Formats: sequence, C-alpha cells, structure tokens
Amino acid sequence: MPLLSEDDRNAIRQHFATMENTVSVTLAHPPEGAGDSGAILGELAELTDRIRLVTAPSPETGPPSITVGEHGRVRFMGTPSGYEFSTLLTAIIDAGRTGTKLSPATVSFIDGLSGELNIMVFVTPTCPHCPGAAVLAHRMAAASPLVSASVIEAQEYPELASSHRVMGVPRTVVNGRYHAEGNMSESVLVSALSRAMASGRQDAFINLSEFIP
Amino acid sequence: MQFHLPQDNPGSDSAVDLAIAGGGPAALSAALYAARYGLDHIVLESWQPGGQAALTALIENYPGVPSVPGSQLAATMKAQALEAGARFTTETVSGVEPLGDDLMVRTGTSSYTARTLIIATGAAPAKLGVPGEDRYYGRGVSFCATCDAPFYRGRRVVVVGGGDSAVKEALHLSGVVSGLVLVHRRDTLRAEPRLARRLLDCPTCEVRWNSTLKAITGDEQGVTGVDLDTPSGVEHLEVDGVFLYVGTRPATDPFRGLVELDARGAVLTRNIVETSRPGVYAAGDVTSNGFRQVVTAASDGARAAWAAFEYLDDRRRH
Repeated sequence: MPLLSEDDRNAIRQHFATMENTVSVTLAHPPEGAGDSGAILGELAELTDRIRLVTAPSPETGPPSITVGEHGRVRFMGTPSGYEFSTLLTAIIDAGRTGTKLSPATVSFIDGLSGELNIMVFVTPTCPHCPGAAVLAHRMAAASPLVSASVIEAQEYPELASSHRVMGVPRTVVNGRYHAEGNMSESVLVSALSRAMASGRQDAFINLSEFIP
Repeated sequence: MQFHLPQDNPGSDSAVDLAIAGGGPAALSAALYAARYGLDHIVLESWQPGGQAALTALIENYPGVPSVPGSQLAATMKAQALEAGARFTTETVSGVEPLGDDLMVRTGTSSYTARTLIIATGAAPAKLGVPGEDRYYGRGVSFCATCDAPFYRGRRVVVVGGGDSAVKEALHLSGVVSGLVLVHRRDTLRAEPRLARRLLDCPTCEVRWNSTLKAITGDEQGVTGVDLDTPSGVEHLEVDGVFLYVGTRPATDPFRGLVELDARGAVLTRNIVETSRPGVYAAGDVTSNGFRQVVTAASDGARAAWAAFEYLDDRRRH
C-alpha cells in the first residue's frame, strides 16, 4: 500500500514536470533502516526521472536525514510528513529549476556575506506555519556556497531541539546564536538578521525580534 | 500519515478577473465558487495553508462533517477547489493599490493586475500585552497548541481565554500534559456549551474563574511560572508553558488605505461581504462580521465569489 494517494501522485507529477534539471537526493539512514523517509523518497523517485536517489547507510544513529542537491547544503532531518512534506517537495522542485525565488534584497544580503551562515529550522509535521520558515532557509542555502540549512523535525531530534531551548516551532537558529521565533516574513527575517550581525553582539542567545526595524 | 503539497507560481499570466488573498476556509470556499463560475482567478495563499482552521485540533461543528482535524477539513476543501479548477500560488500579498478601475496586487516577488479582489486573509492570535509574553515567546509562550503540544508532554501549562479556541485547544493539550489550568477573566466560559461542559469534566483540567494573567516569569531556559490576579489575591503557579487564546487581530496591514477598517482593524463590511470599495470584497475572520466560525467563513467566501461574479458581469454589460 503506497503512502501517497493517487491524487497526490498526480499533483506531484505536475510539479515535477516543471523541473529542468536532474536533482540528486541523498538519504542517509541508520543501520536499522530508512523507515518512512525511505518509503516516501522511493515513491517520489518513481514519479519522475529527474530525481537521482542515493540511499546511504550511515554509521550515525538517529533518524534518517535527506540532502537535496550535490552541494549538500540543503538538508532535512527527520521524516518529511504532514506540512513538512511540502518543504521537502519545494526543495526538490526548486533544485530542479534555474534561478531563485528569493527577493532581490535577500540575494544582496547573501551576496554580501563575508562568512558562513549555518541555519537550523526546527519544525513539527502538524505546524502549518513551519514550511514558510523552512523553505526560506533552504532557498538561502541553495543560493550561496556560504549558506547551509537544516530543517529539523524537533520530535525526532529531541536532544538537538532541547539544546537550542526549542519549545515552539518554527524556530530558526542562525550560527547557533541568532534565534527567530515563528514564521517571520522573508524581509523581516533578513533585515533583523543583517542588523543583528552588524551589531557585533556576541551573546550566546540573541533574539532576532529585538532587531526588527 | 498526512501529506501537504506546495503550490506553484503561475508566473506569466499576471492579469486576472479576481484575486483571492488568503488560504483559510473563506478563501478556499471563494476559490471553489470562483472556479465553478469560470472566473479567471488566482488564490494568493501565503505560507499558512488552511488558515486558523488548520491550527484547530478538532472541528466538530462544520455541518456534514461530524468530527475532523482542522488541517484535514482544510485539506479536503482545498482538494475540492483544485478539482473544480482553482489556481493557487504560495505568495503573500504585501500591498494593493488602485489602478484605474482595476487593482495592482503586489506580493513579495511579483504583482497581479486584478479587476476584483476578495480579502480573506483571516486573523492572527492577539497578544495579551503582559510582562514576559514577548521574552518567552517560543520558549514556553505559544499561540499554537497544534504546533507545539509535543514539547509539553508530561508538563504543566496554563491556557488563557474562555472562548471556543481556548477551550478546544485546552482539551487538545489535556491529553498530553500532566496538568492544565485554564485562566478566564469571567465567571462562565464563552465557548459553546458542549465544549465548556467537556472542559469542566476533564479530570486533568482546573479553571481559575474571574482571574487574569499578570505576568509570565522564567529563567534562561524559558517559562517557569505565571502570576495570576485572582479574587483571593495574587497567585503564583509553577508551569512550563502558557498558551494564549485571547482573541484575534485581523490580518489587514496590506489593505490599509484601500478599504475602510473598523476600530479592531477588521475590514468593515456591509451586506456581509461588501467593503467600502466597489469590486473589493471581504470574507471570514478578516471582516467586521460578528460570528467567526469555519462555517461562516465558508459561507462568506461563497457570497464574496458570487458578488465578484455579479460585479464583473455588470462591468462587462456597461
């Protein structure tokens, strides 16, 4: 019995039909198996020849993680179900197309970076707000070799979530220090992050809402 | 296992008869009717499919659907609209300006010329404005039990409010947390009696009547407690989470100056869906209409699509 319904498969085929390039999708999974993530990706790969799926057993324990694109900067940690399925699909479809959907202001912020940005976005599958924050982080990562983004299903990675004091989702954490609560719009997140980074503050926990213009 | 799909940007065809802003039941119903009327339209859905309905754990009063998770009801509505030919895009309206008899609808990345517009952007949870609320947002303070309940397994929480949302979400949380206190400023619940009864019967739930939340306290890790103003004085409760359901704030920022708003910031409507500007309609929780339910939002959406259809028909004839 497939996980995706026939209606979903048809809708996904239409999305995939807009992809111009082949996208490499890598699934790293613990020795005990690839679980639902493996099943979901397997079903997606059947719907298009634009996905090159590589399944790689990993020595690391913990739930499977998915990397979209050869560069390895767009990651999804945990099972992409519920609202997070749309995050994974968007990452794959974006990678199959040329160009970016980021605003010019975001692109110029990324182009001006002098160091790396490591973005984590904590999510739950029942959170309709979460894909907005998750897709933004993935698009920023896809746009520059200096940016990487991991979307993390918080329930499957409870220790990682609690080490960043996550008690609500979506939570965006940049370079382990800058924290954004909720689904901030692209322009608000990027301007707050840019101001916070320019402030030179080095505290371990910086709330980006203090830097909203 | 549920799977939600993203929407595509149609790109080039950026002139439409009708633009629908929003993604909740009002917008989905407007989309269904617009598609069936054959209107050339686009639904600018933003990044919150299903609107507030999708944040509701269980909806039990939508006629014809006995009891259903809000996200599932919204997904069914959307599937029905798509089946009818509705066209969606994941874009957020940032502003609208008049353009002759038409409208220029701007989103973060593109713009659409529309002859008519349905504002169905809904509402966001309102803040209480107490100390600690902003500081601990995301670290114990939440406006979304559906999103954040898993973080409170076996912990103690307070829920503030006494309406349908507060009581529904308290009941949802009561299945996860070790203890729950509902804080309500009146001596009876405003929620529909059936829900209220269930909360009063819930063994892990307590209610503090005639009480208000004065402050949220915490440490570096997050919320540790709340201070309540109760009839018997100030009471401190040790809790890990605070869920706020104290009303909503209509999402009308992009429409300021385009249509008249009421004192709450809601789109002022006459005849349920008409705004102060001809050709611009509003539906659901974004309006000044008094009763805000999924069924009334769906009804408003249908009326708004019909009104847009009639308006366009009238414009074509004259």
